Amino acid sequence: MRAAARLLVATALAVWLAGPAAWAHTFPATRQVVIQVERCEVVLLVGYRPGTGEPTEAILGRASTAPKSRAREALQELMAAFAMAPLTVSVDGQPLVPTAVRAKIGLEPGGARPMVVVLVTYPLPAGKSLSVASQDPRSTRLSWQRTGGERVAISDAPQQGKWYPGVASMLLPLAAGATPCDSTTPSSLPSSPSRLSR
Amino acid sequence: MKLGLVLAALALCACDGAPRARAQVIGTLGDTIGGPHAIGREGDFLLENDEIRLIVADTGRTSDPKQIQVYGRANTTFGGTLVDADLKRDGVGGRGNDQLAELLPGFLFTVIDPLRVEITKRGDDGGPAEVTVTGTGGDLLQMVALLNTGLMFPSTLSFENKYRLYPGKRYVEIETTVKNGPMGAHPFPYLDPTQLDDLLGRNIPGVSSIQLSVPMGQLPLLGGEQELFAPGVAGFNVKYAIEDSYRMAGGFPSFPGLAVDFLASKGEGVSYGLTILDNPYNYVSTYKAGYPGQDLTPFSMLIPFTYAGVAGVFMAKPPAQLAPNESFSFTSYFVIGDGDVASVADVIYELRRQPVGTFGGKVVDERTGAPVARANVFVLDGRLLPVNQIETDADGTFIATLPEGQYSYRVLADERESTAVQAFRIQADRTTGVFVTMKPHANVVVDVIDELGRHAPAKITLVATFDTANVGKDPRTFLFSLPFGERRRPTAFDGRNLYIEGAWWTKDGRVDARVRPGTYDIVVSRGPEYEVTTKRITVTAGGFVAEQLQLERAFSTDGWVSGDFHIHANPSTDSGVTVEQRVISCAAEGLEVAVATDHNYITDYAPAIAASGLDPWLLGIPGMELTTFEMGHFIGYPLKIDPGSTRGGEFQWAYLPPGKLFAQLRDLAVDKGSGLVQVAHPRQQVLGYFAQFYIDAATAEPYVPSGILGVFAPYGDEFSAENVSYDFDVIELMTGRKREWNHTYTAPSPLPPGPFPNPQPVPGQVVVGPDGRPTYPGTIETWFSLLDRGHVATGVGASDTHHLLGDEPGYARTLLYVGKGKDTPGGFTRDDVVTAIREHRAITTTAPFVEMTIGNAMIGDTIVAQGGGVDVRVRVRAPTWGAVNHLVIYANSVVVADQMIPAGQGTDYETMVRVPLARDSWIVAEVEGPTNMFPVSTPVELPPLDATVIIQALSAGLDLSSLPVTAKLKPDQLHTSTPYAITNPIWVDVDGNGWGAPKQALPRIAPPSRSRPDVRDAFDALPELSP
Repeated sequence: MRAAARLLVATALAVWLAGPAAWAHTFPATRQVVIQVERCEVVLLVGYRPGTGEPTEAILGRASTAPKSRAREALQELMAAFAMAPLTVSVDGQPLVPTAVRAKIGLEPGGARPMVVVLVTYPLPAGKSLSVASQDPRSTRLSWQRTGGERVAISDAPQQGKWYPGVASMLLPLAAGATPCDSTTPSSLPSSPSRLSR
Repeated sequence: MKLGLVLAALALCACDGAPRARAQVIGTLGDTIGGPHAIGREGDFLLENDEIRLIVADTGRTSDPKQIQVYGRANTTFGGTLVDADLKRDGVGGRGNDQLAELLPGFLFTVIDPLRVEITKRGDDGGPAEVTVTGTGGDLLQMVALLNTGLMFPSTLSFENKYRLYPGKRYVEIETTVKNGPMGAHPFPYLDPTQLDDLLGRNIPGVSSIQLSVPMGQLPLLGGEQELFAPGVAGFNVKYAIEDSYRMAGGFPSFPGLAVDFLASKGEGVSYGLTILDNPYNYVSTYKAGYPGQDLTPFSMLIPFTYAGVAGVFMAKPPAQLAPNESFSFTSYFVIGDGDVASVADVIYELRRQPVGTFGGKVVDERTGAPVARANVFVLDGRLLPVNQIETDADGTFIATLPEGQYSYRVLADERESTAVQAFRIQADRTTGVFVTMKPHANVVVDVIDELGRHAPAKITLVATFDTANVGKDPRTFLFSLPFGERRRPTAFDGRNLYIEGAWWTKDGRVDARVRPGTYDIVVSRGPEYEVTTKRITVTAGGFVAEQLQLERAFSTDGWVSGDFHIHANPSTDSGVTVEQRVISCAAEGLEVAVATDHNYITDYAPAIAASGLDPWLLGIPGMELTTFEMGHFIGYPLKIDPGSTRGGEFQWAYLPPGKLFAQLRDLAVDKGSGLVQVAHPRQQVLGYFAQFYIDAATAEPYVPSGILGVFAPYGDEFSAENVSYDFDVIELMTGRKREWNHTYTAPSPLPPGPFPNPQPVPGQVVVGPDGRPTYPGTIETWFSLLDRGHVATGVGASDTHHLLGDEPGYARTLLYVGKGKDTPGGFTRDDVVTAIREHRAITTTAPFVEMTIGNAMIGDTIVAQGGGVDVRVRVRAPTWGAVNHLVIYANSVVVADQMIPAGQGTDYETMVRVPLARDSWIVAEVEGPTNMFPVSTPVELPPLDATVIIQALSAGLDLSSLPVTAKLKPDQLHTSTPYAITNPIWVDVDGNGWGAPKQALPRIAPPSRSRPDVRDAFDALPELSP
């Protein structure tokens, strides 16, 4: 485990500082958010890659200062925090609090920068509209889909399955007559409910 | 009681008659400015006082994902910029004369990506009105992102721009601020040179010892109607003066460029200017040693480039470092004048509080005493360089203010000899008056009829001669003066002493022109299907000559019509040609189809065609050139016009991959099924699709550039190779007179003196770079590769004309087969044109008409020929001014016939060639000739900006020799306009089982699946990072 963490950090730093991919192109941060609306929950699948250069270097630098035994976890937590930092999920203006956060990290093909995929689950209370907002719209692409239930008023909602790049927020109107769920009965349970401290 | 209320109301309202300024969010289009380049719309911000009106665009983004994003509404990528500006014109609501394309602040090449645009002062207190734009840093061009990152590092900065309009003033004050974030000190430049070396990722000799700087200022796009002026050595010759300034650059840390006291422009009814006041952070003053030999003043600003209509005007040097949360502001002034430089300069002198006197007078005709309207009175300094330009009004009068001093003046008018230089003196608060007489003009009346006796559209050109001692010299040095704003007069550029005094494109063959006295050849033409008719005349000052001339048909093209599929007029920000002038010029050049392709503006020529009475002669097709900054230009037609849009339709050009751009053009089509997508000038650097995506000419597939080219490659995901789309229908094989883009560049024989970078060039062979690929790949070779791989885009020729003389429409053009007997006025429809293109019944040409047939099959047909070969018949016809001498036939990219055409048959040649074929094939014929087509089609004789000089100045000792623009071996960009034509293919099915591509089909990019898995399943399916 320690070896893996050291390998990850060392490889990523080495690739960034010395690799040819770094100069061939520089890339800004990208954040792709799939909003899945279920009967009782909203699940966000957030993929995030920091921008090449200083942003990646800063993350890797901070992760490398963690105790070696926690280097991998530290990088995962940092990446997840960066991925989620500009995002706010709310119903009728009231921010939702996640019930579960899971993350997986990896290196993008070519190894130029780390990536993280975060799965965040929120309870979906009754309300008029669900909003997912980003304070960093330039790097964010939003998309939404639904599984089970009819919580979203589909006729007034943006098209499902389509990417909306560069938008500050996505507003999903909630159906008027839909039955809200008991907060203790989520639509489905994560298969591996590990939580990340934020 | 009532009286009391009225008095109270009067006391409250601003009814004191004092000037006011105000700001408002635009609620209806009626509140916008209007004019050739007006794009203001609802939701934008209007600033106005009693003198001028301006519009600041909104952020350009929307939080509603149902609405289309409006990044880059017309010109640059982001919103929040000044998009419209005009004088206040009473009683013409919405019908103003905005000619400004855009003005935005530039921090080197970082611009503001606005998060917020808001009114911060309404002006209702009698003070200024103010609109504030705040945002983060964005790249003007992705290609310069590394420079931005290394010198500015905008990620930790925020930006603000305040547009402040005072009552009664003809300028808007622009306060621009850059603010550091809280995290730490922010130096300028951000990286030291050694870090810059790391950023570039390659060891560039010398870079680690270079000291750089970070210039900040404004980036004006003043529009195609506006001619840029800077007092002094540049005058109206700003473009070439910049290049000259590079030759004497003093070196870093100062960026090279032209130092100007102010920047102004001249235009029809409105003009613009940009200036600063004396301040301690002046960029040029800080780095005086960098500008030896230039005139520096406390107000100097640096113009290092004009590129694609954007000028960089840098004026401020930030402190060496900003502490956390510290900010730096600089102020500039954007001035609006009434059409000449002087009306702008008047405001600038007032802003600077310079003591001025008045200079005025009247210009009249020496013989008649009639006023000379629209003459240009140039004010000259002690070195006789132009420092101001005043235009005479309808009465021949002029007036301007000038700082105290000794001056001279000289008056120029297009149709008259200019006056001698006269000295005068200006004293503060005193008026100096002059009375000027000009020699009379001459009058030439020409009446043209065609071979049927009709008053048909025709071009009338006056050709004159210059002193043979000047043959071979740059015409700018003896024939016309660009600093004095004189019209370009194209020369024959072939050793003869001929030049064009003037040209008129007429809708009915009639012209009544005022010209300078002299001896001229009247040359009448009407495109390649007609010979030129010539008549020599001599006209004296005040004299009059009238001639009737008849056009003579060169050849007929039964069933074929002539079209130009890439044409600009003044809805494009970089063209000053009105739509009416444009349609008349098309008809006069013998075009029968004109596709309007303005930059990011859907234009319909139909109203102008109807108003000019040209319906029988010209079919207009609405279209657009979807213009990205660095992904290429793409043309769509026929498009529908959205009358509710200020740009003819709504679309997005930034941050989209090519496939999305193409889909958008198809969505805008009149009929989605029949809309055509055309790749414009595919091999043009920065603006061409194939160039920007590094499409290999041999495979037609993209590759990742190596070396320093990679440093300048755009970084956005939309530019990744997997985003290349082949979903286009048409390729421009020849654009304008750029024959150097047609074929892959081969080294001349003998080679010019070296040395050359490795690999060493071989005379007559393709010049390749270190990666083994051609340094200058050809459009036609790339098209051939596409054909080889089964992508059957139709090849066309187009002019990409933005002007008139020197950039004529129809050269190049496309001949389309619309059906026998249908090439008559009104005999074919838009659908016939679209069908002809879809069926590849097209010939790209500058003049020759090339018919290629195999048996009864014509261009665009697919035939079955199982006999192991075909007999290809080629007939070439051309006017005598476009005679050809060389024919090449290709089959599957291989030359299968190469014939010289006998001199006596250059205008009508026919041959039959047996082409053996072993497999399914496509066959194309190409002809060319050495004939100089002057004066019908003019040469390219003025050099484009010499990138080598600029890069050498910028690199100052760095080894950037691997950049193609610095190479010694490169295609000759200056040349005469010569005959050239290439057909579309005839496809031959040899094996009888349907035509199959001779090479592996291009990779098809699978459309993304519309149904996506549950995100929980998707997450679980992701692998954990393994050691």
